Amino acid sequence: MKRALILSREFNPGDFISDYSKDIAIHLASSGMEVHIISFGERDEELKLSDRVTVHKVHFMLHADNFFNWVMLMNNELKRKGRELFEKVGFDGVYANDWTTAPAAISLSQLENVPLCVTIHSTERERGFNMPHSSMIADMEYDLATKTTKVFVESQRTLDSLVTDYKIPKEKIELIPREGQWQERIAQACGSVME
Amino acid sequence: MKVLMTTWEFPPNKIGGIASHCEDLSKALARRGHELHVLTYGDKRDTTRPFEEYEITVHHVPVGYAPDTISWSMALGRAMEKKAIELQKEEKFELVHAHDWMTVPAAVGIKKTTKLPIVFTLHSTEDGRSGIHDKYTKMINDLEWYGTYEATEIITVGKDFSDEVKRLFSPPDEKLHYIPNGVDITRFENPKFFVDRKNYLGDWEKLVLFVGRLSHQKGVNFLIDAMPKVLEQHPDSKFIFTGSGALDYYRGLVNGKGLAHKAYFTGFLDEKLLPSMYQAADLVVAPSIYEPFGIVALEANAARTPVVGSYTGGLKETIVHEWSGLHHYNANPKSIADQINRSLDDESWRHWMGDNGRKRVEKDFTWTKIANWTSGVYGKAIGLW
Repeated sequence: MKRALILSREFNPGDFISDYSKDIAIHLASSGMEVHIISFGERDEELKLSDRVTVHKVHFMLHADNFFNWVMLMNNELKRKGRELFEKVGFDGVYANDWTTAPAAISLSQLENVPLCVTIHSTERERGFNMPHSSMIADMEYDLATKTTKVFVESQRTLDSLVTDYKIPKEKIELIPREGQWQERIAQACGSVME
Repeated sequence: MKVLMTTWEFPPNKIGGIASHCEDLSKALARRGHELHVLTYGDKRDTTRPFEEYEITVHHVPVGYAPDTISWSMALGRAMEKKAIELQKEEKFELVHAHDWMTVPAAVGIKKTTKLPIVFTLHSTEDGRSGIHDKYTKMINDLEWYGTYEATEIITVGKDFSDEVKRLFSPPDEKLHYIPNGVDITRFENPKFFVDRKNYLGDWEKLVLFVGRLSHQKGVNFLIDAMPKVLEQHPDSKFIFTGSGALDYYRGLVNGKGLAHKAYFTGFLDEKLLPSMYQAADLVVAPSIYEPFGIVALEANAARTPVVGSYTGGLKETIVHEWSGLHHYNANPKSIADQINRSLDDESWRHWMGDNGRKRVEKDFTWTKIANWTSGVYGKAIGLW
């Protein structure tokens, strides 16, 4: 059985990226894969969404002086759990969401030599590029988009930004808007990358 | 043992004291048979090259723009971690040795991905350097704690400083090790480059030398306040301040006392000239108000020059009162002046103290000895004992 690891900044009902990750996980599972999701949580815990989908929440206790630095350090816990699960169950690929899980996603795929997929929900350029860490975030988005086999985006705007602002080759990017059978399309594309 | 050392600066990049520390330590460890790889910041390119004739390989990783130093340390951490993952596939390191908070993000990232244990050396703390007074300094303090928490073994450079680390971060006692800094005494044996005393003072004058960053932490203002009282008793003394920092500010303080002719600020002095500067001095003063280790005292002693220094932190150990130098009360200009006067009074006593200091440095503070202790800590970190 194929196995996929999904990284999500958080996993809480109502949160946009959590719902997105959950939908993809369920569809990957129904296509016959075993899926593990790692996310930050208020405490370390393990939830079983179904026979084939497990959520691992990891806690990180430092608050940090800003969101960027917190993300960088929190990712260490994603790496730790990821490494542990790689040893326990092994994965055929890693799936990341946005720059907030990029450090762990890139390190784990580099460490284990497995392909990487990512959904970039929006780019820092689109969000205005007006924060102290914008340039560092954009660097990370570039790094992430370069290291992955496939980049999924939800809108034409994000696709254009990646192509023009980040110079990511168009062939690598797949536009899948959240309508119709979008989860199936992503699950299918992901599945073929992790073959 | 195969060791991956992480430091934000390594020669030829030298800004603070960590570069020299890592250079001397890694040389001594290499001589002892360890295989050293140093992971450090490099300006623009990702390069790997051997370090001088030693069995040391230096890997430079470039880092892009960051809005502040903490964020920069995060970017450095990511760059180092990626390099370490790549290296680990070939090299099979046994542990990572990190220096100060700047490479804590790197060391922890490497630990979480490659599972290498961390040995973490603390050279000073943010609490001691500037105090914890806002979000930024608290974050540095947190990173220092994070380093001690994630490390398998912690090395501190002073006994008093160990207590400070214990008070701030509460690590388990068995993780905490005190290993002093060392001095490369060969540098002081036959220096190739010389300073000319005549450039700084008349041949009838006595050279009282300060070496260090010109900052509040180093107690420069207390030394300047002590000058009139010294000059009253020893009008033939002259104060040389060596080091970069708030030059204009301290020059202003000296001028304000009308003592401009009795002080000289060299600014940054090439490291090659330092041994000869220490040798040229009649007395070295280290009036720091916070000093985890106090290498200046040992460097002065290596040049057979006695030291007057604060009774604080590492200086408590690096100076033996009335034997290799003199202690004065911390942040106390009157006490500084008294002790400088006492030593200037008696030339033969000064020589005796200088010789004692030199013997002590040769015996207790050599890098070979420090490398042996460090090897012991490495052994403990990988579970040899």
